[in-house]
Amino acid sequence: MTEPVSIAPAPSRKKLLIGSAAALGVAAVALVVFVLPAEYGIDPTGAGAALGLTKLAEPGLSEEQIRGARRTGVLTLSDQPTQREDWADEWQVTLRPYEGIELKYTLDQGAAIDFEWEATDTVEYDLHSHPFEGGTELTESYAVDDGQRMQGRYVAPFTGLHGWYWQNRNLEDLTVTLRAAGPIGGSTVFEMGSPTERPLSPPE
Amino acid sequence: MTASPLRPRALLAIGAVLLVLVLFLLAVPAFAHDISDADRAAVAQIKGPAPFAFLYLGAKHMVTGIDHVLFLIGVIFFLYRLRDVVIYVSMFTIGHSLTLLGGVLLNTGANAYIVDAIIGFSVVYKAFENLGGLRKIGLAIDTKLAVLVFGLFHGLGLATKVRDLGLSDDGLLPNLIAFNVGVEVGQVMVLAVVVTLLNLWRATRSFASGAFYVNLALMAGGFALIGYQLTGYFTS
Repeated sequence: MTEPVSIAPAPSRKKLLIGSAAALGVAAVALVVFVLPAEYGIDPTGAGAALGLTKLAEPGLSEEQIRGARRTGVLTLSDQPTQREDWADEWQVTLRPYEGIELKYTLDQGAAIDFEWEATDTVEYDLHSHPFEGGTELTESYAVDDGQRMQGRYVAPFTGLHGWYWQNRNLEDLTVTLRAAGPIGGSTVFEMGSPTERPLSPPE
Repeated sequence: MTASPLRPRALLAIGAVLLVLVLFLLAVPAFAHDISDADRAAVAQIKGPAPFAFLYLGAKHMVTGIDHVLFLIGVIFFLYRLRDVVIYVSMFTIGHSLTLLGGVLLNTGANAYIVDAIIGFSVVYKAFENLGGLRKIGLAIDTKLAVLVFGLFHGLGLATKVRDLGLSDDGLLPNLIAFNVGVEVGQVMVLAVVVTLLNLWRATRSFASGAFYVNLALMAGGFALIGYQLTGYFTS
């Protein structure tokens, strides 16, 4: 049997122990100060935040979100229910587990709508828009999150389609109820990627 | 043999060298090691045999996979005869091929974090063994057998990465074999560089003293990999 030939003399027991402990220590420091903050956002010493490493652990913004983040004054969220009676549209949809659907309003540039929607359970949503000129490649997202309600004012940054994508990630059905008021030109429902025009239906 | 305690200055120097090495080594896996989203999206579109695509992915995984590279460096660190290199690398190849092919075909697998933590441990083990540490603590473990066994774990890790690619059943076997061959191609590429550099260094005076510190650096890299993977396991 050929044993690997060691040219270097084996270190003494003491040197080996100190060296191994140093290796462990260096690894522990590198982990705590650099790797864990950068990879997992775990930052017990605060060094990761000071070095700007914890930013690496945050999920990156999509191109759509970056475009949306450059806009100001598009979306103004409100804590209060919308004080309007002149609803132009009301829409209710039930989503099965992991089903997603999209509702878009046709809005002219500068058109301001007040809206509120509420879901019977936590729902993933993405408020986004794209202009008629340029199409979906210029899609912008203004709010990507999960929640049970959203209310406020939306001012169309351009003429195009503006609205929400909702996805139910629970194991039970949920219902989303949306109301909107303002100069809405029309609405389109996107289900499984295919658009269907739908007439606005103001509440009775 | 009398113990030669390390002076503080030497310790400081070791620490600095190890730190730089670890940082350098850790910068790589963070970006390169996991199958990238682009590769995954490309594979998702592949139906049927695509040998060259998988050959490339296998080689890429090996060349950019710092855990496999560190282990290989450890394995061949003190081997200078080509024959020994071939024997030991063959043990590693047999080990990882068995579990790569078996793991994917039988659709069995273990938790990827745990497997990757064991792979990190294989680096620590090999470095410790290189320093004669096992003999010092009274263990006599066959070095070839150890490489074979750790090869099995490296293969399990490879299998989880292949599964992560979302391989289609259509053309599974040829694609898997192509990936495995790619892994060996990548391994030869890594070895060619490492063996050459080590042999150049071995011929110099600094090898005898430097070998100790390089193996400590390997050990530190292994420890860091273990901590990185275990943290992933406990937080996921």
